[in-house]
Amino acid sequence: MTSVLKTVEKLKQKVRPKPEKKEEKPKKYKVPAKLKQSAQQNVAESMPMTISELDAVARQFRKCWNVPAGARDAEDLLVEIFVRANPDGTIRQAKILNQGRMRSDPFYRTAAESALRAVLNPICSPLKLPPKKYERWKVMKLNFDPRAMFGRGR
Amino acid sequence: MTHDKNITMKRFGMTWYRHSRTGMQRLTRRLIFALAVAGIVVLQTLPAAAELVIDITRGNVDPFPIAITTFLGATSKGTQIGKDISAVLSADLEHSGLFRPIPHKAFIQTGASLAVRPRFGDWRIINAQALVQGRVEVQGNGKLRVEFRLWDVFAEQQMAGQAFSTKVKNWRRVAHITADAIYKRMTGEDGYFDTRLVYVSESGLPTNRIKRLAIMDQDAANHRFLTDGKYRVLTPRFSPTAQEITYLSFIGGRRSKPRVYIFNLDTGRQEILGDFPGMTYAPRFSPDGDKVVMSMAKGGNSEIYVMNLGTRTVQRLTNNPGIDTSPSYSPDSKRIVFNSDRGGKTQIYVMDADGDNIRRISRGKGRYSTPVWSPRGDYIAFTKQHSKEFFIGVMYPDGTGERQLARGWMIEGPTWAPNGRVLSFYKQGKHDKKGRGGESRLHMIDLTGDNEREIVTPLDGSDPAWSPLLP
Repeated sequence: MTSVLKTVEKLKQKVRPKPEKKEEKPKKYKVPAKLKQSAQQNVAESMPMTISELDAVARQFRKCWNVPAGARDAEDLLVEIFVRANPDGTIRQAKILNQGRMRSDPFYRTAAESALRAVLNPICSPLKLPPKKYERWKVMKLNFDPRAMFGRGR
Repeated sequence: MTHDKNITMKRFGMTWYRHSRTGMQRLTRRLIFALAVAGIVVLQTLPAAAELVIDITRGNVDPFPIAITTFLGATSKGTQIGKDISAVLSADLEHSGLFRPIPHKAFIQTGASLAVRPRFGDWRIINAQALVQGRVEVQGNGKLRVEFRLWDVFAEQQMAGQAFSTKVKNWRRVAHITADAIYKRMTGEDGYFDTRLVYVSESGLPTNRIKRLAIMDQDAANHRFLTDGKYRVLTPRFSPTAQEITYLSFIGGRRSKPRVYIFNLDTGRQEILGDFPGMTYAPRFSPDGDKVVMSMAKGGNSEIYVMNLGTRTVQRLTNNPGIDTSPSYSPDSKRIVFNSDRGGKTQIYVMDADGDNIRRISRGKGRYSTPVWSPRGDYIAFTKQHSKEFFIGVMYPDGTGERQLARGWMIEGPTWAPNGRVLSFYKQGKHDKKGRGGESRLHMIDLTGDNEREIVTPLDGSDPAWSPLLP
């Protein structure tokens, strides 16, 4: 395993220099420092969220999401929470998207409320998201899906 | 998006011209339309902009932290009842294994200020995710008025609120009903706290056991004996719809043949189900309470029969040289599960309610007996005997998904709580050559196999049967 990682590291090092050379070329035109800074910021903003960044948030919710026991063996209880976050990772607004089912299905309501509580739980605030990519995550959808925890035959 | 918006505006304009309104109306309508369209645009962009999606597939199943405050009373009697109700309610929820009541000494907000409005920040600090508060009023005519509220602390919203009026002596039931309401609101499933257990109370030496029918609340309170012990009783079963118990008794003395009786809890009357040519045993009500399904032995062979309680007509369902017994209906009354040794070892079989289509469902090693269909329909509980050990287990009605919940030297007789989430059974210890030890105790366990607890009874107990929720 370690050797594989090392090889990957080596490959990365080999690949890296190329784009650096390309970036160096425009230097001749002397880009003003301010513009350069904002350009770099734009690059960071336009970078997609990495899987490990998303995983960190999912992991963070493990201790905050108290999955209702009623969800056991119940299929299709995916709850979508719409979230607006502040730049510091705290929650500005959170709401359950499927309000219709909230009213008609008590199991779903229970699941949805537990998901909303997880988002509002002070233990999970602020969310561990990279501040540089705020533009990417200031608005997001959190999918709480208990199926993996309570599959049939548990 | 902008393009679409223009088309929409034009279309709105055309509709509007057709109605030919006055200039002022036109302007107002146009304004409303513009606002409406703007509104639509905002609504549409909201979810569309939420491009980032994070999947959360793991949470925890730790007991839910809940703050159950002492219900407030205006008089000293009311204060005492409020305290007692909170304690019973708290014990119910804690015993379910799904809730963790937070110790009162951690509370920041206490007393009368709670009645005004909870200070949610104070409850968030101690990580209470839900809060229960209540008020008790003892009225002049011996009546009790109890109200409670359940709050979501994080969302700062009331989740449930109810008020009950009853006689003062019913305060325990009020506590159980409140616990059921909270359980239902928090889990989506019906509760099981306002229920009772009937069981066989045992005393005396192993060679000469006195067996009496006894009943108590599910939390072991209000225990009383229903029969005096003169005659032995076995296999009590609750009616799912009425306060009636069917059971087996040897009325008429030790040598008399056992027969199936029905005991009415409201009147205290017991009545023989019918005088059959053979020995009848293992009775159980149908889900609608209109029929009793049981075994009858004739000439060393047992078959399953069903009796219509209204017409008292009897129909035979099985016809096999093996011993067919322990029948139990599916909650939709369409099928019956039972055990039979027709294939050699005792195994579990399912048949249609008319006796057709018999198929074996138990597949594992060992002997399977006493199958009971869950009131929720999803599982069949059973006793299994294998390698000198007993197990209480569950499987799906098609025989798959078998898992053992509890094991012991001698454990038997599962019975379901009405919500199909909790089981009760009894456990007997080994006794030595002098007859010491061998205590028999009632237990409760969650469907997950967690949270096993003993139900403390005054004497030994066996063969528990769970009531439906009280009417």
